[in-house]
Amino acid sequence: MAEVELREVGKMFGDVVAVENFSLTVYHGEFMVFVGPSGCGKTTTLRMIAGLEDISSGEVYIDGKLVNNVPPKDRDIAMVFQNYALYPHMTVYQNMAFGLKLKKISKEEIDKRVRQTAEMLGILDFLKRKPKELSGGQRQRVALGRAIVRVPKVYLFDEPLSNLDAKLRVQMRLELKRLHERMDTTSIYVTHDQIEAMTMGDRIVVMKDGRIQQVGKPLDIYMKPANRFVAGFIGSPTMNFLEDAVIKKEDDKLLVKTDSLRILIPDEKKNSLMPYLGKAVTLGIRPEDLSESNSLEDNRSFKALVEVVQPVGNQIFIDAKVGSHNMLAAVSPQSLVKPRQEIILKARVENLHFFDPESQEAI
Amino acid sequence: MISRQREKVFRFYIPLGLFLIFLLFPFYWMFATTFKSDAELYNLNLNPFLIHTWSLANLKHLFTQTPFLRWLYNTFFVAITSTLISLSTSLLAAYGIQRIRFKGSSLMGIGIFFCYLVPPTILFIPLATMVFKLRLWDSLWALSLIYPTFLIPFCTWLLMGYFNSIPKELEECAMIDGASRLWIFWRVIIPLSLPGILSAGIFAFTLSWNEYLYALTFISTSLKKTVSVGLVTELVRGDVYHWGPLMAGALFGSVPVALVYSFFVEYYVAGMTGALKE
Repeated sequence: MAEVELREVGKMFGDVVAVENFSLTVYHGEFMVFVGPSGCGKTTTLRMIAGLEDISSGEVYIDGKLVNNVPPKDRDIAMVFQNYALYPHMTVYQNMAFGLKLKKISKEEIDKRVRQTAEMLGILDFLKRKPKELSGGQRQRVALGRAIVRVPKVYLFDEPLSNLDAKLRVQMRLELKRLHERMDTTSIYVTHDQIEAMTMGDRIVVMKDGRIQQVGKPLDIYMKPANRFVAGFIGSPTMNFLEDAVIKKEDDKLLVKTDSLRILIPDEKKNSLMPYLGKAVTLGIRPEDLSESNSLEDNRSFKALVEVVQPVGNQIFIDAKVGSHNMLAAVSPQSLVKPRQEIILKARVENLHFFDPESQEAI
Repeated sequence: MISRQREKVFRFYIPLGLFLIFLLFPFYWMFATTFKSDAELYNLNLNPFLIHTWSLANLKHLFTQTPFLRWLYNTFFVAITSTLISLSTSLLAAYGIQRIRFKGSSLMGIGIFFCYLVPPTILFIPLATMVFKLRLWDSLWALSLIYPTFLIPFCTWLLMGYFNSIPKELEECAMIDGASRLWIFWRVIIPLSLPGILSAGIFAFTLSWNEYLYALTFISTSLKKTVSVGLVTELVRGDVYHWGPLMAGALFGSVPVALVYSFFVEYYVAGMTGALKE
């Protein structure tokens, strides 16, 4: 178990900046998730921590020790790769014992550890098989086992579940989380799947274009995204953005207006939005913060023309035209709406998000 | 159902059969000539495709009147040593160029490829000077050392392609596990590349086995000749062709290569397609 610290870490590939000014501390026993779209630098950062990629600038510390020039094998880490990276010519047992053998650990100890780990992961029956005789999920377990058996200070996961089918992924997600709790170790996990990030991370780092956009607990990031990118990336389905919203003052009340809706701004947001009076902002409303309503309540409801209805079981997604915008609403499964029907949508005003149209930062 | 089978016969088996006849006919001709007597061979009234009376005279001539067994041994020696030298060099070269990615590695890869493009008919003149200065003239070692000049480029390129199909993560994982480069090369890369190494080896072996020009240039003593050169220089005297022993030699000279191919044909195909299945 150890702390991992990155200080202003940067990575250049020729002239291309892959990671820039990355500073972060991952605490003892924390499950940290790096999430972002492909090419955002999350895997490169992980590989720099592993020592598989040179660090162009900045410093990486593992357990308080500067490791910039320490080779991967001396960093006391274990990594699980996306394609499992199991040695095809070795049995499951040999795969798991490989690292221990190199550490010159006694045969009895290796045998004990491999069997213990295999039992924990439910792969005891496959020890004599070769990777090609296993299913995707089983291979994934072996890859995990190979990392666990070494009892490293830090676990690094590079999109380990993305080659599994959806159902297995959910199951492995749970198991990984359970393993982490049980082993009480520091883990850094890279994924492009925001649901994986939300469900697994103690904290999440959202990245884009090689830069950290926001670091925080999953729900904090969901509730208070730092900027428009984070707001759009975290949460499924994606937040609705209305670009041409204007802040207006009517009688003592602060309102946000577009061509087809006017919503009252709650008191706690008033102060921060006052400087934008009369100016344009980007209004963000999550689909789950919209619900069907029977009456046009004052200053929080608006009319919408239903275009597409997508039932997903526990919710129904409605794509509706609101003035010149299209908005997605996640309504209750009991809803009976039909395409081309006009309905009234009600917004949960306390969950509205506002973004500066220039800087894209949250207001 | 029947029409589909008939279609398969016409579209697959008949063309394949014709192709096989075309390919195997020279072998049959060698075989038939080997076991005919001289009298039958030159009798134009007999059907040349059949053996009317079997005779072992040509074999007797080949094995007693010429040092054919010695030539076979020489060819084996040269083919095996040059294949081993080429393979061990190419393995290291291909791995270095493909995986270590040092400065100028891709340039070096292209450079090696260019070496392969220089025709031996030009190269043998400067090589002759070198062989002479190394005091290797008329020695089998001259061939063992010269053949790698065309074998190494070929094997290196074949192996580079093969190494490319091995996922990088395997090496990275081993690196994190604490393995050194050499350990990874020996314990991970080599076992996984066996089909590639075998096909490169077979190809190198065949090329050295059949090589003619260098063997003709650098070897003059009869006892040091290889099969391909020995047969032509000792069994064609002036304008007299000893067809019977010549064909017998050709038949026995091609058997080892055919055997090598038939044993490793599966690896050979896998090596050529570069397929690594987990």
